[in-house]
Amino acid sequence: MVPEAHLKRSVLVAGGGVAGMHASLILAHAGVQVYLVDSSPTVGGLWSLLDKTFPTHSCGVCHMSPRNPAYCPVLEIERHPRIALMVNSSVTEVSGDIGDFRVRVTTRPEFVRRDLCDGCGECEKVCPVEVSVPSYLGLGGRRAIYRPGHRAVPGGFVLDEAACTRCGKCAEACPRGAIDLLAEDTRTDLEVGAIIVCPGMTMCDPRVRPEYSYDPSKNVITGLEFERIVSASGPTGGRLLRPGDGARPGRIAFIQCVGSRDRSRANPYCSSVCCMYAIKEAIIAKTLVPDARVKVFYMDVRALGKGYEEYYARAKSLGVEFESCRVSGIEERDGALEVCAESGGTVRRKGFDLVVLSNGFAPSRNLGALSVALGVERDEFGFIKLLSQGRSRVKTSRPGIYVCGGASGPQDIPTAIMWSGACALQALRAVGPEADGDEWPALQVDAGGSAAQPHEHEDVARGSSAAFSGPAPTPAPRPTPTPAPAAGQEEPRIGVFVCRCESSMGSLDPAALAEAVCAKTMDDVVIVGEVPAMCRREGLVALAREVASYRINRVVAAACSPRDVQGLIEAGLSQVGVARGMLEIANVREQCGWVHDDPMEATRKACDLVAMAVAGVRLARPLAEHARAIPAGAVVIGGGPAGMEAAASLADLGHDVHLVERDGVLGGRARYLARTLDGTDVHEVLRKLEERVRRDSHITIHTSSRVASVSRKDGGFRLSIVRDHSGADHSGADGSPGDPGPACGGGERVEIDCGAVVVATGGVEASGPAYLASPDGVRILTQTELEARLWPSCDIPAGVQNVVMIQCAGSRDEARPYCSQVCCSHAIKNAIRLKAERPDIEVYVLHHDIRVPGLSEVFYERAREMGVVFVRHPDNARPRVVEDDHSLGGGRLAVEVRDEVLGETIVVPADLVVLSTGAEGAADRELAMALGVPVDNHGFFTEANAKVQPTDFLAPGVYVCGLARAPGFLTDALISAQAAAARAGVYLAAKEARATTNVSYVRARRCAGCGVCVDVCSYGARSIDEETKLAVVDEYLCRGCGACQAACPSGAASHAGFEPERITSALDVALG
Amino acid sequence: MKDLLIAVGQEGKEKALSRFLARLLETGAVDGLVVAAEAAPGVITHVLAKDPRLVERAARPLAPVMPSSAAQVVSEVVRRRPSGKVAAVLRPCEGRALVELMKLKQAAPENVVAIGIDCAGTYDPVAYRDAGGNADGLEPREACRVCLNPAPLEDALPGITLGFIGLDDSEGIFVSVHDRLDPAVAAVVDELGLASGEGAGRKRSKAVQALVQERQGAYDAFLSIAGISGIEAFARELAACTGCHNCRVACPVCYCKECVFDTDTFEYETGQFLRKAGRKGALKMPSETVLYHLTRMNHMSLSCVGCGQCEQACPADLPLFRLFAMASRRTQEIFGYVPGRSLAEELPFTTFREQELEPR
Repeated sequence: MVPEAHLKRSVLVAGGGVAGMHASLILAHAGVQVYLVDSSPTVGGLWSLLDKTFPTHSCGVCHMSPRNPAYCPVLEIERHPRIALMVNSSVTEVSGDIGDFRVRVTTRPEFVRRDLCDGCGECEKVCPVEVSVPSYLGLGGRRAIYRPGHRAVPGGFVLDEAACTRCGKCAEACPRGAIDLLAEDTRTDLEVGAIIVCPGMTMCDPRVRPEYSYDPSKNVITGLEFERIVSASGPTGGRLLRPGDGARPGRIAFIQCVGSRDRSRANPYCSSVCCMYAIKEAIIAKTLVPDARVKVFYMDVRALGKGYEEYYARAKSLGVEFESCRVSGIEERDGALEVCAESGGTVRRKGFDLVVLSNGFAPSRNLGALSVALGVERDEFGFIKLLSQGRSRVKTSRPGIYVCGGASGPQDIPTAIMWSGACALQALRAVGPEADGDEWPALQVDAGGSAAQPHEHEDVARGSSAAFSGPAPTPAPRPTPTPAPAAGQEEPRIGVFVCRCESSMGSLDPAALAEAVCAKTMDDVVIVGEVPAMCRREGLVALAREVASYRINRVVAAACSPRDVQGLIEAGLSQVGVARGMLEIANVREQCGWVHDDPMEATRKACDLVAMAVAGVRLARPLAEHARAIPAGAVVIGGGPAGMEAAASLADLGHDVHLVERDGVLGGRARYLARTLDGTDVHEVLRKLEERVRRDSHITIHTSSRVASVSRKDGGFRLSIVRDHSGADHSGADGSPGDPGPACGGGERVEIDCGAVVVATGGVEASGPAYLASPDGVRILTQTELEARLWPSCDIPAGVQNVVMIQCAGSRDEARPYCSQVCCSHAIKNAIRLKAERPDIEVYVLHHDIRVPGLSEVFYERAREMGVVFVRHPDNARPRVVEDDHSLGGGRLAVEVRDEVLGETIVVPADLVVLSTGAEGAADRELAMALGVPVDNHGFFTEANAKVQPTDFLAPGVYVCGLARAPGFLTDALISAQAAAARAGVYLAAKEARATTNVSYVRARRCAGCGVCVDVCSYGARSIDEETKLAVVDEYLCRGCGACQAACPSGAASHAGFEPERITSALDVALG
Repeated sequence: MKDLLIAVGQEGKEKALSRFLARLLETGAVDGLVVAAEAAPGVITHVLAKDPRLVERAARPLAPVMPSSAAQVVSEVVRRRPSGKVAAVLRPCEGRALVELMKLKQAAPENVVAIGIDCAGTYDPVAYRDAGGNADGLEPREACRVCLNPAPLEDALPGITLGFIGLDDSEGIFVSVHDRLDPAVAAVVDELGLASGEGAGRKRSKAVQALVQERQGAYDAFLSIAGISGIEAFARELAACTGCHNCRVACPVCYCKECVFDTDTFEYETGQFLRKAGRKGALKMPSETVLYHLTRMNHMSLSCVGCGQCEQACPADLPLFRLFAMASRRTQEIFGYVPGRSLAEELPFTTFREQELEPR
């Protein structure tokens, strides 16, 4: 270990996709300097190409930031002072050790200097080189010098090195001298304490299956191409037209496992994501072309994730057809495509208009070179090799280097988010824990100009001298640094500023808009001006300068979505004396420039939006800012592997933790498991974890204890922990003698105050369904009961010849519509063990989809090689256990099953029937209610956002991990625990909670105490005060959604900044 | 549920009822009683009675006018620091309105003993007073003529239902006692040793059914002639509105402490008024009367029980009952919501179900 004094409080993140962005944000918020390195010109990765994501059908990525208020993470990464973004760059050399690495980053030439380019676009106009790009990117052709995308970060133009002829025209045209065609590679040497590797995945080449005709046929496309075609920003503006002839396809096929689960020609592993993205695209196809026939040809539908099975069911209910078969070829004849599907030895041909190949994933192309530079090993498939199973899963072969996202194997977004959270946690440990967080970083826009770049006068508020309709301005010598005490009281002086948006306003010309606004009479408007992009530093500086010199106290920004920039501009304005709340943004880019082709129309509408914003902002009042301290320390509820891991991880970050376990011993459900599918000894993992939490002085363990009550107190929680003296093991199974636990001894009840709560209360193994047969412990077992007889030694009676495993026993049906995710792996693990120990036994696995994740596919292969018989049945024909067929001799069972491949019912004699009953949630609803967090119908806690906030709740300060959230493997539980701990750690380290600015409030005189606002509030922010019988708001829980204001009939529930007076006034102006 | 019978002697139904009600006060089973009483010849008002003798003498539980909704009266009594038990004689529409107010926390259910009573319809209170309390020759109010709920909804509130539809005096008054009736009140009923009312109950149910069936036609016809479509037609119907807001005061489910139309939300600056006037050439004053009625409809149509009090209170005689009946039938149908049916039924706009707005 490096001595503490030498630890580098900085981390390098290699890869700027979803995983890299998430890890960077966590680290930056925890006070660590981050270098985010990406080989492409912009950040965002594959995610930025996606139109919608499953199963939420929204982007939702703005929820990714670990702290509210959240902005688009891409913009946050750009503005966060502790994130240094290095694009076009790669890591080329690493030396040193954990805590003290020296890293060389090589950056390809920056022909367009970002610090000088203001995005005016003059270069593009003169560039003579046309470059054709894949049509699916939706860009059509472009020039050799181009802007990567509307929202690309970093902004500005880039040069396509390969296409550029170095003619020099662009350099001549650039008014700011930003283009240097002779630029060379640059090298930067960095010192960092840890490295996170997350360069993502590459899509497999669909040509590995030439018989699928991807090459000759334009109407055979990949999933990603489909995604771009249906995207609103794609080449058809969001209509589903086939590329070959622009016709509307009436028959659409999706072919699964292209390049995956195909050892002979491509990758042997399952790519984990393709089933779900195909289902999503099939749903989109069905939505865009409702009368289309949409069919998915698959081997197994691997809906492995929370809510995925339900999403699959939704696709079926929408009329998407699914057929289990192998597709042997696709032929194109006269524009029609023929799909040859093989099932049960027969081949059928079916006609389609469009075929989408669900091609899988391979390790990122850069991963080879990167792994060499990093000095980390790769596995047989080319992914980064993981050091071990269990606790340190995200560790690579080199200490201090961690891996997440697609570099470690195929991962979907929620998994990548959890892994990156775990990586951030490991990196935080490596750079030295420090429970001190940081202030929300503010961008310095001091209008005096010292922190800002020098700017030319013509950059500022063009047209300002001619364009004010109020009294002549008296430029102030220096701006007032803080809002005047009477903010909101003084005469309104409104400034309207049109954002130039780096020439990305679409059909809208900012200059024309500024002129149109000038020509219109608007009350109290003092100045109308244009400024450079307000989401960038120079724009904010220009804005601040104008505001100061015209003594503006209310601002209208004609710009883009307030969701992106409101907080940013508000923070900037507050530094020059404009109070929060005195800004209104007219979204003229998305609502005018991007949606209207006619510039005149766009300008007219934009002008109306500005007039409405002016009418609104005239009546604006300053918004109160709410901040309060978050108490130190955390409570982890549940002492299974997830709970222990969360406690250990929080302690690693320097937080004091109370770990509360209901049973007398730690370990939870995992105590009844022996091995994981990859052979990890579960007891060994538990033993190490327990040792770890017991030895840590930061952790207080309360066994045989339950949380009797929870209340929100100040900025945190007060939990009342009651110790049960009987020391009973509530799970009813054998465990080692209960440990008295140090804290509760003697005392009945302990009160604990803390700032964060991690819920890790686990779940239970579901009981077998009655329609089959119930486990009797003799002839019918559950998988867990079988496992107990397989390890440490194999204890199966000699007479047993046939073992029949029934999958989905009680899952994926009406009562439990979800998939328990682990049962297939559980069955394969036990089947392999049985076959290894007792080769004489025949093992049958009856299933309808074998669902093993990603690289675990090899174990499925191995089981088949060992002679385990997998029998697939239709999902509406469940197997039936029948008593003793006479032909088999007395006392035996048999299982009747419809073999989907043979198309007939077979009877399998069974000495032992093993039911894969799956997992059930066991959330304590009272606890959930007290914490203000939701529980789904199946007893699992419902996270804030299934995609990008899998371990958070909407209620701040409460986190979830392990089986309490969703069924999953031991590794998933441990990773999710680390991710939850990372998020909780950042929250605690901030030490102060800030409320969203636009919170709701109560006009007490009008409140009748009816409680309608309480019922409609999704965040538990409203309640009726018991004394006054009036509604009250917890500003820290309120997210400013406005539902209460809409529901309240008297206007007592008011939403700051959206008061009815303001809205009616704006509407009045809109009506002319 | 227990079905009983109160015998009616020479003095008639109303006196028999009054004596029964007085008994509740006399025994101390309830602390007060909300009931209609005659203040002067033909002048009916609600009272909160404490003295059983007064109830026996002056209560008019069957008075054929509804000066205000008893639901509002009960809410006024048991809204602030509620305590004790207050019994209230409630017409079907009043009982249903009270359930809505209870959902909105404007009355405490545990402090109310609901005494639902069949309703034979009501007259305009002014006409009734002018006739000196003699209803001969008067026509029931429109809302009552098409009312589809002449009998209280069973089970909506734990209490007692008193019925007489289809029963003549010699057959007595039907009494249905709710299982969850307050034990003290139940004891009083037991003590009276009333005969079983099963036969009378069956007869009454049939009569209620027949009455509802008969009115259904009248109701449908009423709504079909009341068909008003579009904002222009709607504004025409309301053209005579003087902006007095009496309808809001009379509405039993309009519960706001301070109506948004009494706040500065609609206190425009002169410039705003002139801009509005400029748009159409002239602005109807007082302004925002159409918006006012639309807002009331938006807020209250789901809870509208069709009592017609709004129209009764209107000095301009606007067809408010018709307009609300049209709107509320549609909105209530969308959510399958019946106001006043059950305390457990959530107000539709406080909940969200994914498919709630899909056609059924």
